[in-house]
Amino acid sequence: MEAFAIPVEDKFILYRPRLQLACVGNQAMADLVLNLASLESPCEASAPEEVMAFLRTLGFLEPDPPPLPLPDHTFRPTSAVLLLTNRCNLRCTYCYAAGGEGPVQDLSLELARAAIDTVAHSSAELKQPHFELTFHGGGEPVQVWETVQAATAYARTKDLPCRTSMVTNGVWTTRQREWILHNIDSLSISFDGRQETQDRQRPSASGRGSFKAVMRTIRALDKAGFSYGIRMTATAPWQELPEDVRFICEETGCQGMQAEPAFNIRRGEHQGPTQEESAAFVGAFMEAFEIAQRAGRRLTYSGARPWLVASTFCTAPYGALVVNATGNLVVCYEIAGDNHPLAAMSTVGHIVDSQVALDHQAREALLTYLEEKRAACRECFCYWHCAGDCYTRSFYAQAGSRRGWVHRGWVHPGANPRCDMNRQITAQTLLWYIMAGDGVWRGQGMTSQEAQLMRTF
Amino acid sequence: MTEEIKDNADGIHPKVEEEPRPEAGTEEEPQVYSVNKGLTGWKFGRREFLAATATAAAAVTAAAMVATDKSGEAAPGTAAVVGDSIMLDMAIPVMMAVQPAQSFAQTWRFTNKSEAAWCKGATLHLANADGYIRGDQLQAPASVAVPDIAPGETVNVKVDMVAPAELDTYRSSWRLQMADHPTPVASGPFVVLNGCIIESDHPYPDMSQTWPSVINPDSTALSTRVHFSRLELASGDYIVLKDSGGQEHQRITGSYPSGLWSSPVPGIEVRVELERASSESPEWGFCLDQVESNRVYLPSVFKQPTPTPTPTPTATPCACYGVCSCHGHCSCNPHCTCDRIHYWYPC
Repeated sequence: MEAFAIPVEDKFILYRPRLQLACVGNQAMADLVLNLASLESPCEASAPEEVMAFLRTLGFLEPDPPPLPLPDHTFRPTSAVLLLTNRCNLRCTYCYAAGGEGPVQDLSLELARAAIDTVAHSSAELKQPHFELTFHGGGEPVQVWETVQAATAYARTKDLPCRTSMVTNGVWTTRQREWILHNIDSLSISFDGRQETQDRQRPSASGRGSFKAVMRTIRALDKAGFSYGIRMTATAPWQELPEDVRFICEETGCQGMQAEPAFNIRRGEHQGPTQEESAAFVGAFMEAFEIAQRAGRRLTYSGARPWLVASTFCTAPYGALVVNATGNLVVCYEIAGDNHPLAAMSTVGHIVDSQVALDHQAREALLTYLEEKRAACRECFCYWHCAGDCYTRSFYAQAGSRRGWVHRGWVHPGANPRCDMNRQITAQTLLWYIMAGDGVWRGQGMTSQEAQLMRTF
Repeated sequence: MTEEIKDNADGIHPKVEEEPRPEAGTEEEPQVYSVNKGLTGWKFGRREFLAATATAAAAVTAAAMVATDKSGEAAPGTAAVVGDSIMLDMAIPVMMAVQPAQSFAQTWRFTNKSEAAWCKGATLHLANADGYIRGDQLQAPASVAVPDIAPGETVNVKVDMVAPAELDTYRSSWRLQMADHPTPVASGPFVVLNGCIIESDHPYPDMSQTWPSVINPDSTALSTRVHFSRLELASGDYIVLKDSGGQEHQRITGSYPSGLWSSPVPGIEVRVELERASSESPEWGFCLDQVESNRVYLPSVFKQPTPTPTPTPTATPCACYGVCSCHGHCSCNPHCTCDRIHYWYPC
């Protein structure tokens, strides 16, 4: 029985992560619960009967479900993720890929077709009902419009149905918008909120703001009843995030937002947070989370997801064939080109002569690294949720930091700030859900389907 | 006890530190607490065990009732992992066009898809009541009770509203609030009230154009007609009406200054395209101002709209409606039952 007592002020969140069950108790209750967790059988416990009755009624003493299977290392992708280009019509101030700069690199239609062939074939072999095609990238996919249309059309020629999705900045022409509305099944739009935020953080290549263009797109999506997600990037000053989330709640029909912090101050850079930055983001995120909750919307952050029990942070290294504009196969959507600092360890093959050539040794080394990284988190109460965290995002946070020390599953401040951020937001989110559940959290917050989707973008 | 974390590939050897023990609570007996959010942070209220046990028991009962999701499949994990937000199949109207000062009603449809009665003491309430969302009350009551629902039963909850007299676009947001679940779980309809749901520029530009689909708020409709309050096209130009799968159902040419109704288009989505084929100057264009449901979809009843000039109908009813991307097989039912984003393509 896996149980944690997470300190909050002078109380504790009593937490069964794999049962997705939580409530708040005092020190004595925390001691009791942790003691029960260490016993072979709860019947051995000595506690007042009314306390035991409460815990039994709550389901807190139920055994954990069977362990989740470890991911299969066999390379049988059911999703083709095409990082189409490094061209971009925006110059976002925090863009890690420095999209729109440097020599143009576009993925050829020939390579795109090879990726689609491979994924359609392996999906059919696995008897999947469909396969996935996603347009993503270190640039804006719509900038290579002909390739988007041609690749989609090609995917539709396969016997197996194809689901298409796109991660985009939303700056489209009217014709592009109409085509996307009718041909793309799922959209994630990068949009940072109010005009002052969006225009400051996501200017166009000419320096003009992009707010009006993206809002035109969002209003058209809302009018058409198209369901989409918004991916927000927050930067200092962090207190602007709640107001940007409030704006999106009030002015758009978007039901699900994901907010991620960026700590780099120059394009093309990666940087982890300091403890102060980490704490500032946590405060701003929770304020924004409350606004979204009260508006009936969802705001998530990738490192804090108690409603998900998983053995991997994301599905990309296992179930996706991710090919970037250089033709390399990579295991992360952020490795858009060879200039990424983690490109060498993240490249697991390439496409040559229309054939996918997988470097099994490189892929195995990467997967082993991910599993070892996750194993080091075994004592943390987020172990089943962030599942070792995103290796690219946590890489910079971990550099030079201590791992901290554990008490009741809580790695105390002094550990790496990214993990601290994940844990703080997870704990605060749990408190919110406990409040919403009248004292008990039972996994509410996201459906199982939505939770799984969180692992694909 | 202090634990030492082993080094791994991305960390640095930690040192064993003295454990920072959190402050202990003041109570010696095990106790649980309710949680509330105050302006200055979290507030914990002590709860009596018996009351807590009763609440927990009720929560377990509720959780057992909601152990299936929309697809009808058992949710993974425990029976308690599914939130209230997906317990019901709740149909929410998304758009409606009405005239100024016109009375109308919005209807929410709830279906209990579980095997247990749904007894939540729920209400639909205006979302702007809590001050977080702007919304227009439209002379509706602030809240409307949602009755208890037996397993498998469908209940319609109607809210009467009156459109303001001033032409504009209004939005009335509503949420489902359950007595045992403080977090509201739904948003409400959009009400478009600008005289035209969609319209061209007047005159329309010298190019072909498409508009966002018109969605019939009546999701039970088998087919949908749209009304043009005015439609005037240059000779040779035409309006194309398509269904959600992109299949063309009608071409309209000519001028109808006093308006016309279209033929029924299968399903609840109508796509409107203006094809610019004429070398003459563009005319006034169009204003699409009404949507009407047809309960029975009979392709044979497609008729040409009146008055003259006679548009060229090109309704091409097919034996089957199309293939939904969710199912992957040809279907005669224009309503896909899947709850995901989907598209249609021809059989």
